[in-house]
Amino acid sequence: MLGEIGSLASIAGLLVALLGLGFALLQLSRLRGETRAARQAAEETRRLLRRDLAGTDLTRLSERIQGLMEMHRSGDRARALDRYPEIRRLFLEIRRQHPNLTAEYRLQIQSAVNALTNMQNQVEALTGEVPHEMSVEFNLTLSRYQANLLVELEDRLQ
Amino acid sequence: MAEPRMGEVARELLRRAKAGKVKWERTVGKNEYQVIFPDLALTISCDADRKHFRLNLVGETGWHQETLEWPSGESDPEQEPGLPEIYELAEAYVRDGALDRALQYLKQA
Repeated sequence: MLGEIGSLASIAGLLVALLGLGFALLQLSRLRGETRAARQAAEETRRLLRRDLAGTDLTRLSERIQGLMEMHRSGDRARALDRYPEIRRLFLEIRRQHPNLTAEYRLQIQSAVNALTNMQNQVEALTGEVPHEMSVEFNLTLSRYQANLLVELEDRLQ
Repeated sequence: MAEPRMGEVARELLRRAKAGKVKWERTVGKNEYQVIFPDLALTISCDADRKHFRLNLVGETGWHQETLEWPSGESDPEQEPGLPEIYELAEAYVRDGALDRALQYLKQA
């Protein structure tokens, strides 16, 4: 009699243990699903943030280039000299923040950086205002970067 | 130490430029052409008389890192790194490249 009761108790204990295990597995599965969803949501937020930051950087870069072109037109040597390093830094920052950019874009950014340094050296060597001829040549180059490279980067990064 | 290494760069650049494997572009500098790599560039330039040539290695931030000049006081004529020839090839590439490509496109059309 006692043996039968003992067996029934063992079986009941086993059933309770199995139920407990099933419940635990169910909870674990839910938890994993929630973790995955949370990770996906965080990744999506990061992606949107990166896109917005890239858009902001490109807009700022375009505005700075536009400003530099106006400084060239007005012959404002001193302010132009302050602007070259800033624009160069923005280009380099974009390249640093987007290591997956294709080789072609990296080449174009390097070309823009070199052009800005070259302009800075030439303007630095001047004794007076930026001459008209130099202003025209520099602004043609800057316009090309603004109209081609920045637009393509915007498409690419967004 | 930089000059022998730049001489080596110049000779390799000349070899590749002769083979038409260098994509030259004009810079905003006077009498200056460049070839761009992902994080650096090489520029070749000359003075107005085309008697003095300069090859620069330009770093990531656009500043010159190494320079090779021709002629230089210490240069051995036997080791001429070919800067005038590199300059001529760059100039011809930029001058003729657009016309050649236009003709090619027209012939293909």
